Amino acid sequence: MKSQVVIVGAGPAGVMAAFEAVKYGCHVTLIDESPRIGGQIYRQAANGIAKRTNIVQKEQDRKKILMAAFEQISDRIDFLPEATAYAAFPGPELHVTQHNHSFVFQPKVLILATGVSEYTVPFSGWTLPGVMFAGGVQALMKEYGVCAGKQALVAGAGPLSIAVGAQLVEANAKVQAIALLNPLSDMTAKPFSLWAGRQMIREGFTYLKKLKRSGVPTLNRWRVIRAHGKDCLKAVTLGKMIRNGQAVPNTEKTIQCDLLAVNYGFSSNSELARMFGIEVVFNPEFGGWIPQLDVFGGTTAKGVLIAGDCGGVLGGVAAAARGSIAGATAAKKFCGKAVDQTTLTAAFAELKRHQLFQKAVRKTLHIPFEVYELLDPETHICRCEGVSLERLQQSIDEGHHTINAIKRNTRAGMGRCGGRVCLRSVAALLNEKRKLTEIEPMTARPVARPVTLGSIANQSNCEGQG
Amino acid sequence: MLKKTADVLIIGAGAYGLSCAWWMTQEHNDIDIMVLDGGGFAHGASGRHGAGMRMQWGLEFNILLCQESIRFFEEAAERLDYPEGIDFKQEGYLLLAPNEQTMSNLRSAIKIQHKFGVPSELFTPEDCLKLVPSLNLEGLAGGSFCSKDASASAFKWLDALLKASRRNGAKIEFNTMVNRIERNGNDFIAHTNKGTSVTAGKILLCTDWAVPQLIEPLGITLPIVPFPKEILVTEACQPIIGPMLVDMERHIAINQVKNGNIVFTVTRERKREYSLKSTPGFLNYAAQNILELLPGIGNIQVLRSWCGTSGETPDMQAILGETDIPNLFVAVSAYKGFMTSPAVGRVVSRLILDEEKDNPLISPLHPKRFQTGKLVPEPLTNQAVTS
Repeated sequence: MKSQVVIVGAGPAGVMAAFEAVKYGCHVTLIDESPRIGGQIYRQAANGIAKRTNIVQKEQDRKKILMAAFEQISDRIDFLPEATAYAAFPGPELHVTQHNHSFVFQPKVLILATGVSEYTVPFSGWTLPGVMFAGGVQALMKEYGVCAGKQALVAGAGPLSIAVGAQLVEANAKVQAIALLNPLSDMTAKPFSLWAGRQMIREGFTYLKKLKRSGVPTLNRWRVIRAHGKDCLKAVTLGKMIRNGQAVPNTEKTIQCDLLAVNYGFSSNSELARMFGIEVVFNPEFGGWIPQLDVFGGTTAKGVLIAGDCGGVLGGVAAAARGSIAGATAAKKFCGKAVDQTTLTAAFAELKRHQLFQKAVRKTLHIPFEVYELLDPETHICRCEGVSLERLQQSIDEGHHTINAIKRNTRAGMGRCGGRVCLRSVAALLNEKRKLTEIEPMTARPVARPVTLGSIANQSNCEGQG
Repeated sequence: MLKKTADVLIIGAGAYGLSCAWWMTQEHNDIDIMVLDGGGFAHGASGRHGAGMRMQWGLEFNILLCQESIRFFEEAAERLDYPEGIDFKQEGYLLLAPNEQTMSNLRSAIKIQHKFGVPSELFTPEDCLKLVPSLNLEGLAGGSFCSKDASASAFKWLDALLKASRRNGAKIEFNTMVNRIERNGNDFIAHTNKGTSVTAGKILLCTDWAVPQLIEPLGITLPIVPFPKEILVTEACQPIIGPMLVDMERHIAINQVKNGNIVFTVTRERKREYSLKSTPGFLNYAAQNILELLPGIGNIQVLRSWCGTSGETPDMQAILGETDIPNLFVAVSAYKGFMTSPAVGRVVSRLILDEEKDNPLISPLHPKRFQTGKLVPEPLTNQAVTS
């Protein structure tokens, strides 16, 4: 398995990067945790599950284009499905586990297209069965045709809630309401951005229309206060707030539901990038700790490029463009191939449109600190290790002022998720207490994802450099 | 420039530094203790080890220091008023011997241990298997077991010491690095990276491998070199390993902690330098060795790994005592900092406050031994290689 180019993640960025690199004659290995390509956004139905078409035709078309691009190259690349990159070292050197094996790659160039994880503001009851990330709800529908609830409530910040709400309606769930921290109309603060993203806005209206026709109310500036239920979710209490996050008294209302889909934005899966020592900057609305890149996706680490939302959230269309750019850059800069400028020019134009558009989207993703202040003190912020808000605030008050120190002091971030879910909340608490804008992330070390001792022991080398 | 004073300035808020701060403030109401640490909470070796504690040693003072310390750990929650406890788990330590040579070391050590009432016993391979059914007996000559040996959470231990010392009045600051110590008559002035300085009558250095860089400018040399070690931890699983396990040949220490995660400390040759970096070959090397010893646990998932650097001394033993400069003290642990910290804190703090000179518990560990050549190597040190 000699490869010049190794790409982690087979969403739009990874697949397009592979497509470009192969086009110029590079040998590519593409790896992904899923059995099939597409990533979260273009997730494919599992074998034997009926394919669903997206409500938005354009989105469906983009998925088809990506599948077709992969089909064109699939017999010329090594595709490792159900494989997880768990460690990275300067070189670049990448350790990947698949089934009961692990492999060491030392390619000329590594492209990280690892995408994002979801984020939610914690609230009392958020660990109850029936409370799910909106993207997780979507994944169940896309891959297995399973609708996770009969009576659903969707809550959070940003446009994903609208899409998931409409998709739940399409899957015959009764959607009680969409509760948004910030109204989507906040995007109008950036009129030029809206113009640049007019196509995406049009697609958004398709979802909104679907919701309106089904009588699903949109509650603007409402937040989840608590989820109720003993063994599983029974109801959710929402509360109204004003723009700066302050609660409006006596507005609490409780809605019956067996599914709460939440999404308060995304976090870049930057662990592998950070293992290379690539600098990151904290920007909650852009995806948490974002690796610093040049326009080609290049980083300060030798032979490492980053493509797609892992390098800051710009959405699926931009991810495909960033993938093309990284793929062509890998071919030109690291494999000495001549590349065609026209594809690159088109990709840069697409990327620019989305960079501009996302400035508007980010207006809807702002989470005022007051939202955290209203939480019950015993709310678990780190669900893996059971660390409460009260314990974290005590730790900060005792003078522990870095993510690493708080982690060691409270165990927040030491569990199974590796801190992907909770450390954003810890950063928010720290940020407020210390009025900082720069928050150092937790030190990234192997393993990036849980991996069995057996597969680590059972290792083979894939000598690279083609 | 902000000027501060202290009766005793402790540099380093790891297990030794905080334990000394607690003992001094616990036994004296009228004393100004300041602790400065260059990093955040538990950033050094005290927060990066495998968290075991054993009294199974081959030298009198190691046995006694650990015996006293384990007794303290048993009552730590009450003595330090730390209600959530320190995740103390007392299911013993099983030291595994690969050959007759190591068995005979264990045998002679047990004789000494029994003199001090350590309930240790020699184990046949079958005894080992009874205690840890997942163990691979191949290449195993036997072992030695002591049911009083234990483990605890390093983080909770440090947090308990920190909170209790602060309640007692100790001033403890993190992220304040002492760059330079200056002599000023009978006093010392410590200059920090924040531009502040602290004038103190006495200084205790608890910065482990970093001690030489602070005392060499004062004309004192101590043979301490940094040695990085890597550790991995698995997901929490059912209790499968009761005691702490130490493989004296593969240099692995295994600790299934109270909440079920299994911590593997796997020592291998590495360059002697300060490093917190993971190395590419570690996980594979560790996993192979672990599965040779415990072949049935290949399906358990690794969650994290980390690296810590501690100070290595020529005899792999602590350096405790006053230096050639009066009122300048060192407490360097050489790998046993966590497990000996309660007793070392007591003895060193009394030494510093002139209450107990020449305590035989620590007199063999005096810094002078490197001039006199009276090294005190410990036969039951579990260390892959020495420089």
